Amino acid sequence: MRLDRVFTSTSARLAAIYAALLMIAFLLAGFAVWLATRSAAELQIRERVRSEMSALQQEIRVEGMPAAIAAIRTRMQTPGALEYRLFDENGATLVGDLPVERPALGWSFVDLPDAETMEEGEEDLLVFSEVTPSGGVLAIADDLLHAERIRSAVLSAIFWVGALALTLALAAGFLATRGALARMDALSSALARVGAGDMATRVPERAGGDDVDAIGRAINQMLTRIDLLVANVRRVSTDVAHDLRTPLTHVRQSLETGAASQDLPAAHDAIATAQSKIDDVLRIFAAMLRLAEIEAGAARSRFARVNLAAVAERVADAYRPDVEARGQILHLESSVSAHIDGDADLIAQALANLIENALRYAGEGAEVDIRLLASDASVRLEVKDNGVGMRDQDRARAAEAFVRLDPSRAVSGAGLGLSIVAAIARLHRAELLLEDASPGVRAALVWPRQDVGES
Amino acid sequence: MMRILLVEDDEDTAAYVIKGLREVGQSVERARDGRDGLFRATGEEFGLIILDRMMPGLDGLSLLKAVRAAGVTAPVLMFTAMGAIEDRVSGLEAGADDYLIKPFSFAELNARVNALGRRQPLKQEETTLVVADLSLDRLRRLVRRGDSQIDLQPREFRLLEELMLNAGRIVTRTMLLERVWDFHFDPNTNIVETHISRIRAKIDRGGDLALIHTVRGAGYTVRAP
Repeated sequence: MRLDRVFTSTSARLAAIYAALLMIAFLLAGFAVWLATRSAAELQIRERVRSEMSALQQEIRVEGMPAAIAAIRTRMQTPGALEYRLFDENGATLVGDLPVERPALGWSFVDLPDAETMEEGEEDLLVFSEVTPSGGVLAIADDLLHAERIRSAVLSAIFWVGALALTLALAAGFLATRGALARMDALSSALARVGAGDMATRVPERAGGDDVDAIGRAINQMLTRIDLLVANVRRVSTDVAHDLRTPLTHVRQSLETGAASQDLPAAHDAIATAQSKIDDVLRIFAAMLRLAEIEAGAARSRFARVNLAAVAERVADAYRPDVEARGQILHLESSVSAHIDGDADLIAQALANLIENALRYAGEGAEVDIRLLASDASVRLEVKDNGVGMRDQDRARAAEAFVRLDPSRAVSGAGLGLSIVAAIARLHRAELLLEDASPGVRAALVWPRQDVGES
Repeated sequence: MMRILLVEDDEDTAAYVIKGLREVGQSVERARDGRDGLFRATGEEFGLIILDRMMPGLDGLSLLKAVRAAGVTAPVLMFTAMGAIEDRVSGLEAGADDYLIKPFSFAELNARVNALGRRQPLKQEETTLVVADLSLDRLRRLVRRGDSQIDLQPREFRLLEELMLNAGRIVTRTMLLERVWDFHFDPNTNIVETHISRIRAKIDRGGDLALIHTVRGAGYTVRAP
C-alpha cells in the first residue's frame, strides 16, 4: 500500500479534520486554564499580602513601632517571605528592602529590572501600601514570579499533553485509514477479479457488523445472484441451441429430400414435414418470447378483476373433452368465489400449462384434479395429478427454463411450460408451489388473502 | 374479389402476402411505409386494410388511430410481432378488427382476410344461421338438422356458431381458439379437434350429408355439399 494513498484517502481527510478539531479544543481549554490560573494565583497573593498588612498594622497599633520593626525584620529572615518596606512620616525608610521609593497607596504593580536580562516591562511585584497609624507608609509586596511559574508550568503541561494528543490522533488516524484502505482494497480487488470473469470470487466477510461488512455482505449477495443468472443464461442458451438443432436438422433433411425428389407428391410430403418441424421451432420461440414478455411485467398495467372460478371452469371445459376422449379424467372443484387483480388470459395460460404438465407426466390413466380453495389466509388454485411424481430435488428445479425432468427427453415439449407458470405467478405476486401428493404432484398457485377480493 | 391495401415495409413479407393473395384472386395494393399508407387509406376505398404494427416512421398503431379518426370504417387486420401481447391488446383497442402474429402461414392469413372481408354483409339482426338443412338460432340457442333438434354443450354451440357465421369460408384452429375459448396462446392440445369431432358426430350423423369439413393444413369449414 503506497503512503500517498493513505494520505489522500477519505478516512485520512476525516482523521485530519478530527486532529484539527482536537487541537482547537485543546487551545481553547489551555487558554481558559491559563486565565483561570493567573487570576487564582493573583487572588491568593493579594489575600496573603492583605492579611500580612492587617497583622502588621495591628502590631504597630498595639505593640508600637519598634516592636513592629523588629517583627518585620524577623519575618524578612524566613525563607519565602514577602517583601516589606516601612517609611516614616517623612518618607525615610525605617525597615525593609522593597525597591519602591514612593509607593502609591493601595495596590500597584512594580516592574523589577530582571537581574539577568535587565529587561523591563514585566510587572514583577504586586505591592500593597497603606498609611500607618504613625503617619508613615507600610508597603508589602509579593513576587509575581511565583504565580508566573505556576502559569508556565500549566502552559507547558497543556502544550505537552496537546502535542501527545495530536501525535496519538494522527497515528490513530493513519492506522485506521490504513486498515480501512486495506479492507477497501480487498473489496475492490475481489470485484476486479469478478470483472475479469472469475464469478466464484467472493468478498471477504467478517462476523462483525460494521458498515464495510454490511457492504461486503450486500456485494456477496449480489455476486451470488449474478452468478446464478449468468449460469442460467449460459445453460439456457446451450439448451436453446440444443432444442433448436434437432428440429432444424430435420427441416434441412426434409428439404434436401424434397429437393432431390423427382416425384411431386413426395416433394410435397417432404415440404409438409419441414413445415411442421419449423412450426415446432416457432413454438419454442413463441414460448421463449412469451416468457420474456411476462417477465418484463408490462402486463401489470392492464390488470383487472379476474374471477378465478370462471377462469378455472373455462380452461377445464376446454380440456375435458380431449382428456375424456383419451380415457383420462379431469375433475374440477371450485365451489368458492375468489377474485384477484390480474390478467385472465395469463392465468388461463398458467392453468392450461399445469393441466398439460399433469396430463403429460401422468400418462394414460391420468386423473387430474383442479381445485379452487379459499381460506382466511390465502386462495389456492391447484392442479393435482396421479403420476409418478417428482423427486424432491427435481421439484426445486422444475420451474427453471428448459428443465425437462426426464433426461431422455422422451416427453415432448420445450421445457418452458412451468417456467411460464412461474413467471405468471411472479407477475401476479402469487406463489407457485410444487408439492408431493403421493402419488403424483400437486402444483398450486397461492395468492395471499389481502390480494383477494370476495365480490 | 376484394381490394386490399397492404401497409408493410418489409419486402419479403410484402412479396409473400401479395403473391399469395393475388393467387386466390384478391386485388392487393401496397404502401411501403406508414405515411404512404395513411395517404392511401384515407384517400381511397378499400375492402380491407392490412397493417404491420412495426414500421419505421409512422408505426401501425398510430396509423390505425389516424385512419379511424379520419372516419375510415374498412376492416383492419394487424400484423404483430411474436411474443408481443401488448400489441394485440393495444391494436384491438385502437380499432383493429383482427390481428395475426408473425410469422404466419398463408392459410391463416387467407382465412382471416376472407372472414374480415365478408363481415359487412352479415346483418347484426340475423339471428338464425342456416346452412343446407342445418339451422342455428342464436337467440334461443337451438340447433336443428332437418327435423331433429340437436343438443350441444355451450362450448360446442359457440364453435358451431363461429363456423356457421363464416359458412363457406375456412376458419382456422387459431381463430377458433381465440373466438370460442378466448385462448390467445396455443394450449398444445387437441381441444379444437376433439370438439369438432364431437359436433360432427352430433350433426353429420348416419347417412346425413357431411356439412362440417376439414380443410387439410388450413382449418375447418361448414358448407352445403
